[in-house]
Amino acid sequence: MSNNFVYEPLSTEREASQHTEEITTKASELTINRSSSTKVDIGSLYINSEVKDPQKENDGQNPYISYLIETKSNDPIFAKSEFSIRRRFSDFVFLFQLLVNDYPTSAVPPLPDKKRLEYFKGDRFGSEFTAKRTASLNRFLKRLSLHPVLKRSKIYHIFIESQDWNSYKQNLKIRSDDSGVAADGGIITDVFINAFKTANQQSKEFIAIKERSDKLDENINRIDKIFQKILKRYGDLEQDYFDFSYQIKKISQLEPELELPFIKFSDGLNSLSLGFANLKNFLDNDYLISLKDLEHYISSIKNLIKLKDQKQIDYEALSEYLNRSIGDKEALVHGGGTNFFTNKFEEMTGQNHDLNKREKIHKLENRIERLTKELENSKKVSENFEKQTLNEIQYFENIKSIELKDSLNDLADNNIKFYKDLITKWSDIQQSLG
Amino acid sequence: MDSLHEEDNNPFSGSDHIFADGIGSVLGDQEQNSSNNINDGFNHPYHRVDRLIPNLESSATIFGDSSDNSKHSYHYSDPNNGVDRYSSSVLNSPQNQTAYDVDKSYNHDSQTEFSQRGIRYSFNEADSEQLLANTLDAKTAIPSDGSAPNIDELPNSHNAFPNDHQENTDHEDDEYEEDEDYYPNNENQNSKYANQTDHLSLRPVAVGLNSPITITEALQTKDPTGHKVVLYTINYHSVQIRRRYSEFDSFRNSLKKLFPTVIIPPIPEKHSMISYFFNPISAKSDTKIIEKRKRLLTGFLRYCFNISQIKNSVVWKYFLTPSMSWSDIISSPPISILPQTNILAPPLDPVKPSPLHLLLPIPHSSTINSFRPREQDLESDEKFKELQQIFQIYRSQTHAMEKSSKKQKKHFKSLVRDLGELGAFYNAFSLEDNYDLATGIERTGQAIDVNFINSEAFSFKILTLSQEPLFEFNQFSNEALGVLKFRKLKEVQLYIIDTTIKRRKQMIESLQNAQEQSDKLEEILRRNAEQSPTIAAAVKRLEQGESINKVTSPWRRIFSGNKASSNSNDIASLNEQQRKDEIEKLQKELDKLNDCLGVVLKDLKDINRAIDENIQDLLATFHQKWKEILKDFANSILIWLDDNLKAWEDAKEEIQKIEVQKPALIDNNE
Repeated sequence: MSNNFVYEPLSTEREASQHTEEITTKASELTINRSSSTKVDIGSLYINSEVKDPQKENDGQNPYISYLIETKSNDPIFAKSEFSIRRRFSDFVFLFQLLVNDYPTSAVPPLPDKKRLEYFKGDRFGSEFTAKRTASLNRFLKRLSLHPVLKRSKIYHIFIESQDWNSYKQNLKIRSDDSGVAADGGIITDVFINAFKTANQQSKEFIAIKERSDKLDENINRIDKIFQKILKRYGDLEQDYFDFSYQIKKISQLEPELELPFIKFSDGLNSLSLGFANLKNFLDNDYLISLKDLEHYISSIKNLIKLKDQKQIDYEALSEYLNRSIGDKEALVHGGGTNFFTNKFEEMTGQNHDLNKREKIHKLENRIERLTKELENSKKVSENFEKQTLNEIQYFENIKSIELKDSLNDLADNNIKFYKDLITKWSDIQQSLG
Repeated sequence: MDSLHEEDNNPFSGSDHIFADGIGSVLGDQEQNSSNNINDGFNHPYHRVDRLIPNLESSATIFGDSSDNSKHSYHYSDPNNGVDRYSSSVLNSPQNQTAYDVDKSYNHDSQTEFSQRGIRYSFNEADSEQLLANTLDAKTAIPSDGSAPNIDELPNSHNAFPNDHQENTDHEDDEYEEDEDYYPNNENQNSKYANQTDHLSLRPVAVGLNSPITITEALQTKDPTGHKVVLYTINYHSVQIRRRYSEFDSFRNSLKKLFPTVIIPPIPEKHSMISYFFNPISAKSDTKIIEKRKRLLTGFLRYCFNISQIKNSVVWKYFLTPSMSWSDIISSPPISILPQTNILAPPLDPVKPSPLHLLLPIPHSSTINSFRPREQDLESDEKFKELQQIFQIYRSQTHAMEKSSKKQKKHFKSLVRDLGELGAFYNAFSLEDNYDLATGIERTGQAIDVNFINSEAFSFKILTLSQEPLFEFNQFSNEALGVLKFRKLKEVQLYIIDTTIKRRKQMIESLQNAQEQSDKLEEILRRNAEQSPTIAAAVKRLEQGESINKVTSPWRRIFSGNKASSNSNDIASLNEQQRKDEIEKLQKELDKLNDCLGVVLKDLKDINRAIDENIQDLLATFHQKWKEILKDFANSILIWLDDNLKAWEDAKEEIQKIEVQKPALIDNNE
């Protein structure tokens, strides 16, 4: 086990729980004791990464796009406070997979779809596609940096900092191939067996959470759809005012005395057209992508809740089995439950009824003991998972709110810029018209 | 000799042929196909003249008389009491009676126009069976009101104006415009803009501000026959006059006929039958059309008010007199005595034509582009050609721009619809439990709502600030081109007379030459005949042959080309007396032609001066109007921008106040 590279989730929890006393009242002021044994306020630690500057590169025959990741951080875990590296999309995918493996109880922020139409159309190196992808990857890293658990993952730190990423990647690949499959297999069978069951005891809290995330999903979806339409309108208006600007310019030839106002006016219309184009591009490449990314994140959360339900179902199935075993034992002890024919059969075969009975009771007692332990364990797992899930939902809510705030802010900023620029332009035109 | 006889037996085919030859020789250096066009073009006017003036004798007498009595019998001075005198004096001349009878019954309404003309033509049918075919031709050849613009409607009108068919496509635009109306009450949404200035004066009408004339309201009522009608109330110097759209339309058509050199301001288009079919009248589309008409008709009146010829005309006074019904106005002079076509009337006062005007040829519109102006007219022709080019560009550009602004409006309206939906959705979204985001989202929704309302108002401004003015520009340009075309037709008319005069002179000359030749020949023949019986027989035959020669109507000859000169044998075959007669006849014709030339020259001089003035006025109006449009557009766009900016800045302020709660962690210490 290459513990050097991987932060085990349990150890994280353990570490975190060492300081329960400090966080009982103010949970947000989560602090941990670092190896340097200097107390660092985790709340004030930040990792700000920015993904930008997609570049086409060549790896033998296969061209690919690499993205520049620039990071600023005050976390002493990094050697410098500012650093930058280049990663390609498959690196992001690798990071994502490792995080999913290592943090089964976390809703790891999703990556943008690898399979997009652009792949088939062949313009996956087109600037529009890479711009959108850059925005999504940027959001992915931002989400990681805001996630209290994932942001402390070693692999994440290596990803954003290390120049030796490729060799790490080679080693890690082997490791994750060995153990990852086994671990996954366990979960998959569990899920498979209980695929058609639903948890009996749904806490009210979770029902509410599910409703909320469904509603959010629906709302984001609707807003997305309306914005798609508005996007089209902006495109239409962009073209209209471009045409109109051109036509006004042509008219200026007929009115030589008004040539200057006409040209200014035409220029103003052209800016209007450009303004619409910019708004359109912003919506298309940023705002709508942020909504899409949020939709993806919501579905990650939903999947996590589903997984939590599975744990609960496992527990419920176990406790049912235990109850049945206890019931069997009770029946044997009190004799009431034994079958007349079974007794008769045992007599005829010359078996000692009492001996048999004792053996059976003993067996059942063993089983009950084992099941009780299992059940306790399962209960712990399920409860832990539930708590983790609730935490994840908190993290998600936090990240979602930050994202929505940011995206609304961007929306307002872009609109303000659109109107401000045009006001400057048109005030000038108005003045020149007298 | 034989073929000549055949031609003479069939005067129509013969004259056509010779006419074509005549023109062909004059325009010998023109290309073959263009001279073909000319032949086609000149055909109809020729027949038309023939038909209008059935025989030389009657019109010749009129002609002779008229030089004496035209001063009083055609003088039309006071519209109020001159009517009776006018019509009675007109009746003196049988020829003119026919013409004016028709004009009296001539209806201004375009729908009945055709049937009236039909009556006129059926009257002509009775004259001659052969004329029937020509009449049918003439039906399409003669513009309905004699002024040039309608020539564009001719099926075979040349492609001088590439976008002549633009009107056809407009219907489609209208339809989708109607369909686009998602919010029926956009006028009401406009309160912000309406507060600045009043609704109508916002429109950049050149003389709009403080104009004493405005349409204040539209009154929906029923006419005596129970049909729903809309009466537009005109407020003119505090006098209220109510007129219907169809009366405006009729009024405008009358103005066009009364002032062929004035560029008559446009009125809104008729509601097309197609859009009636697809959009049966609904209350909603009704109010829209009525509002649009109110705006554009006010514009029309204000433009008219600014044109002195119209403003000082009696028809204008009648139209703005509440007690006068429109049907009374059109059945009294000057409208009732308008000539059939302005090409046969003095351009500055078409209701006072001289008898000579009725003798003028009517050039066909298709000849406009193929004739060459006289040397001395080249300069002015060039000047008007430039003006024509300006208005052609104007017409096609403004048409494209009108379409473009229709698109803008359409797209803005779609945007408005989506913004409305989005704003409502954000507001609903904020109501759901979204923790700390609620106010930020709500304010964003409000900003979007403000954008929605603002854009709604702005999309209406596009209609009144660019689409409708551009429509007016387009129509004005069209009218200007029509007036220019009228001038050109007049020039062609001059050209026809001019060339005819030249040809007559040639004919007289060649007849005189022939006489000299013939005298010489006779001298020789006489000398030789004394020695040879064969020659004597030939001389005899020649004398007989001459008598077969039919004298065709000189009226046809006036404008038909030189029949005699086309065949020198013909001239040579005339005897001395016939030659003398012919020369005398030609000399008479020449005198008349010179009179006509004088009339047309004066007409053309008047036209050139008037049109030049009127077009300069129009260009000044355009100039002024552009200034206002640009200014108003800039103002409106700034209002739109400012309000939207404010809304978004408010939203941004609220968004920045959002404090995202840090996650409250659940204890994991188990």
